[in-house]
Amino acid sequence: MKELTTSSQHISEYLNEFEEFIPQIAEELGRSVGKLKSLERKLSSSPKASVRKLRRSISSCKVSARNEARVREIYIEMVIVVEELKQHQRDLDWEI
Amino acid sequence: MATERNKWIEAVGKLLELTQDRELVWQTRNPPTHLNPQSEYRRIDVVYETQFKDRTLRLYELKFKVEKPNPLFAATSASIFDQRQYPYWAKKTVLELLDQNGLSAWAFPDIDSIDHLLTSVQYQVAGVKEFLDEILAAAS
Repeated sequence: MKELTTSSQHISEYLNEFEEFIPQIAEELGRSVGKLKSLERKLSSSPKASVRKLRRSISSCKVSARNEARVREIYIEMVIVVEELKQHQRDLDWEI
Repeated sequence: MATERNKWIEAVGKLLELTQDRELVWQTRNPPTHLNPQSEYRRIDVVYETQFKDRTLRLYELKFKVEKPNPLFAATSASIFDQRQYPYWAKKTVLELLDQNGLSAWAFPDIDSIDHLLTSVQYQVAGVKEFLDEILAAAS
């Protein structure tokens, strides 16, 4: 989850100058797919569906100068998933 | 269906986009006295403000000192694994909607994208893009 948090932070920084950082955004999103796959294997409840949905959104997105809006949607989706995972972790902590 | 929390995330995402597109212009301000009392427990160095549809938004990083919790009241699981050295300084980014007297009327929920917004606001206020353009123009 920490890696996903860092990815969302990096993407938000790259969005300051979207066109300058297209290769870096594509690379960061590519790395996120691997992290999401790994998370999917570990999760068993509702966050798993959100993680899978985010991974599919990223996989189907080709980062280019024409789709900044789509990258921004993915960034928001990533922040939402991070918040969902944090909540899931808090729930697990209470069960201990 | 979007939850209430997701709506806040989307709203902050929109503020981030408007800031990065320079449609939302932020100004640096000294922190108001009521926000920054002389205290050894909390500190705010600077606040950023902007106008959005006749409303003022204020963004800042609050640094605060965390003292060692009383072991009698600390949650057992937390205290067993807690290896931190106390006291320590922690920080939190705060985004507020102000009323007409400049007082906080509402604080946004604590979400990661508020930290991202602060970074973009600092990028804008510091004029990083312009500075980079100047360096590159001078170098060529």
